[in-house]
Amino acid sequence: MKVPVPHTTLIAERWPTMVLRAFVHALSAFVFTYPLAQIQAAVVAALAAMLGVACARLLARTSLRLWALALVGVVALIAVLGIGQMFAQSAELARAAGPAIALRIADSTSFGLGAFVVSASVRALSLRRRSFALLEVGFIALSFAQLLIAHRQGAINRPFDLADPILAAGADPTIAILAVGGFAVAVILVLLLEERNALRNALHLVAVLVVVAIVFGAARMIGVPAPPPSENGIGNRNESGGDNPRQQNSDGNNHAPVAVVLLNDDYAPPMGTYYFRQSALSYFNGQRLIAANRSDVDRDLARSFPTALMQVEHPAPGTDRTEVHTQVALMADHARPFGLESVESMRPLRNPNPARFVRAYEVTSVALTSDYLALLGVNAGSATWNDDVRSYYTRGLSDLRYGMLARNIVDALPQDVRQEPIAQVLVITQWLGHEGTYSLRSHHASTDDFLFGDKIGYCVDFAHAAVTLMRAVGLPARVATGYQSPESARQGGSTIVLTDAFAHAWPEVYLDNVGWIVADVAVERSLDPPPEPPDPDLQRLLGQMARGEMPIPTGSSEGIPPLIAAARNALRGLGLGLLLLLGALVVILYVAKIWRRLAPRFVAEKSFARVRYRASLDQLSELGYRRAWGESREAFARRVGKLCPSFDAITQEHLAAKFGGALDQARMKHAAQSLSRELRSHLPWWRRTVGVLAPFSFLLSR
Amino acid sequence: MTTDSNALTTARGLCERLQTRLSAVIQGRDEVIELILIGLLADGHVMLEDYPGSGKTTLARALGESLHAGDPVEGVAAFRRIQFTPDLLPSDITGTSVFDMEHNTFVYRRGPVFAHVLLADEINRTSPKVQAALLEAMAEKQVTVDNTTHRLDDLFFVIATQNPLDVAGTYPLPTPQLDRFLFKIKMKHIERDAEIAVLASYPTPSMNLAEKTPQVSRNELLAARKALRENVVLAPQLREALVDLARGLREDRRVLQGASTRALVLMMPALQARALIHGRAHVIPEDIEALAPFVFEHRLECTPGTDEPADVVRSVTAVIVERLAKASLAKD
Repeated sequence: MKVPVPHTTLIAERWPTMVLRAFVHALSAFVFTYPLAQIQAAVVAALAAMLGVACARLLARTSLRLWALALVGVVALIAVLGIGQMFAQSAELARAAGPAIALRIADSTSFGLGAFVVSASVRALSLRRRSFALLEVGFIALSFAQLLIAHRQGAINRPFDLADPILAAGADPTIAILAVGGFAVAVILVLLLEERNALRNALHLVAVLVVVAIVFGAARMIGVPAPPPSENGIGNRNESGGDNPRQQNSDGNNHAPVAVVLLNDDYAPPMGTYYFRQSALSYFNGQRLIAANRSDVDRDLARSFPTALMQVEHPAPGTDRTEVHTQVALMADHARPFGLESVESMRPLRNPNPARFVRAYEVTSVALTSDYLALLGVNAGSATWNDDVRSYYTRGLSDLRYGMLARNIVDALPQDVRQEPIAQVLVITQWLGHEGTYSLRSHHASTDDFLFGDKIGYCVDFAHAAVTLMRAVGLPARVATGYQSPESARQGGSTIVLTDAFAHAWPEVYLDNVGWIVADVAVERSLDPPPEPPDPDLQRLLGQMARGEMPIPTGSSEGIPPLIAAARNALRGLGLGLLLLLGALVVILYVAKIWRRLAPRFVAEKSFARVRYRASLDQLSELGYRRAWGESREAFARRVGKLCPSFDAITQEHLAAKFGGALDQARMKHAAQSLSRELRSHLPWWRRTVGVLAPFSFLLSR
Repeated sequence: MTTDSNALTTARGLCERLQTRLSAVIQGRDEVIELILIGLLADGHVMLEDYPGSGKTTLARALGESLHAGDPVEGVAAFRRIQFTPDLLPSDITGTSVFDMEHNTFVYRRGPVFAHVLLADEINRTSPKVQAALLEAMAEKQVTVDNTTHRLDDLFFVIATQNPLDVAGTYPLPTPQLDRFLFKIKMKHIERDAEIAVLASYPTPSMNLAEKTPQVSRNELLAARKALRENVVLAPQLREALVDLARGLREDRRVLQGASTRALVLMMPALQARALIHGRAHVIPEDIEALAPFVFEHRLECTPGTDEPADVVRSVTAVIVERLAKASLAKD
């Protein structure tokens, strides 16, 4: 007769699995809490998670239905978070215990109770039904992801507690992060494989693949997490002209560093912004500006990375300029080198940290020192230019609107400076900055569209508009592309970390004897938040790496405290002791193993059968043949009988001696010899060698 | 010592002869033949749980024919078969008193139960009254008719059968009655090759081998029983193991009523018989492992929800076997 199985029947679990699960839950809770709260709270959460696993069985045994159980978990979690909030905001507690302790108590309460509730309900659910084990796996994955998420976008110094010791040891934290991730994956796999059912294992695998596919699909659509820029940070915009420098991440939210610039000379730009020129768009193809297609223009640009000391063909003239040395270490591949304007020469450098940087080079620039007012009275264009070059740089749209607009703007200047090139330039950029609105989300296909439309655009639109207007009043101008970084981004140091958010395009104008000068549009209204400055800690770290120094986090540079040194010595001693102990153990094991094998030659007749049988058992055990639990000796002999028929005789004699039969010693000895022979002829040499070398094999024979 | 081993050798020869004769007639049933021989030698009865046409009558008849009439006992046939039906009466089995006109007295006429080998076919089809009459005969080796007790022969071996599937209109034997059977054997269908061999030998089964092998006399068989009881060693630790096994079964959560002490007493000669058939003069743990399911399975009353008593027996036996295996490596 069958009685209906009550619905509270639990899935059976062996105790090693239970211990493993409790450990995994504790670890996950710790890892989850650690970045969010105090260390005490993390420890409390770990212990609470263990307790939760222990209590899950009780919870699962209640007569609650599955959905009610899930509901109870959710409600309890909300309640627990409420209690934590109450503690955190309680003024009485802060008054009574002091704010620091109050914070710890609040953290410990909410994370501890939270971990307990989550562990208990997740475990209880998966005790009821196996498929809920996936929830558990998700919980573990989430914890580890939460720990490691700070590491993304090139923040190699995050999470601090994990990365700092590794950096101090001179290693790459990424390896450790990968190791932690790998460990998490291994734990998850162990949990999944705990399932003995092959079909269910396959289902789990499919489920994991589906989750991965969904994550990938979502990442594609939503755009998180953005991959680090793999190719030219600014782009090699030869043909298409005016490509968006930030096209890859139109949000401009990518803070993964693409390059590190070290200032070797103290140089403050007169306009408060560093411009790193990579390329220029100067050829007007009838619609837009694109990169030059002839060799006699834009010869101040470096067209390829230096392999030896490389002089730029036509550097900027020396007037109003000073020599500045910078070092550039690229973290992402770029199509062309860039350097602080204006580059004079470049020289390759040894890569200070090949694991981190793609290449490094040194740039000698002649940087502008004077502000725009000092350039009053300087002529536009160069006296050395022929008409062809001059017309090349002033060619623009034939649309009359540009000429009229440009003249209207320039006419606003006072009479005495109306013919001054630099004044014209400034009034145009100021007008654009005043009239336009900056937004990365608004891209315009043509300059007409932007300038005579809503005037909402991004740097490329503004640069093209400015250059077109300048050319309309006869000023030789071009669009330069590269990176721009405010002086404040140095944050007091000599390191500038460039990310994709710093990619920029700006208008430039040529002044006689001064060269190309930046005439950027300072847009007054912006729809986007300004890019965040890079993490100062990461900036310092990358600067040290780019200099080829050993990056040591602050704090540990004062030398190792004596306590830690003592602990280290003690650990070393302990390790040595353990090693010795291990060695001694191995020696003892070998001695025991050899004795058990040789014993049949020496023992008295009364225990001969037993000792002889034991020696043969050891012999089989070291080759991996062992009696299973509950298997009788006879059944075992039959099982290995195909490999070594003589073992059957040995077993028979042993049992006869044990259970009152007559022992035939000669037969047993003979069978033992044949057993060795059979094993030798049936098994490959390497397997026998491994067997002989294993010191503990006899412990497993039974 | 020599007489002992002589007696054992004779007994072993007898087993071999019986085995040869039976397996020549019944193909693909070596395991069942062995168990039936063990039952015969251990003085126990056997229940075959079986379906029709599986050769049980042939087997029982062959066993009866293997006993030769060299020293016949008065009024006892070598083999009898009773087909149980619902309308059978106890006297149809035990025999009845008939009025003798000549002597003006009642004369007792022996029933079919007076035989060396009795095949009780479909024992669950008859009424409990008839079953009880047979079970008395099995347990006491005697029948009582009209207050007179008639002894059966010492060599009285019952092979009962029942069909486990066709249970409509049957009177299933309760557990205490099943306890009188040493073994309950669930027969499985024979292997494909064996079945092909059966068809190939049709219409005349190769009886040659059976006919060539000498028959076994009643006295030889009784001597063999005596020899194995006296000379096959059953080590004390194995007797302990038997008791532990029974206790383990009784203590198991899945079991309502465990095995009786009688089961253990009956099992001891069975173990010895198995050792003898396998050519040993001592019992080894494997004998226990092999016989435990057949001895204990029908004696257990399991809790509702337990599907297979065999699983219970197997799991408890595994514990005992493991303990014995471990103990066999310990120093004496």
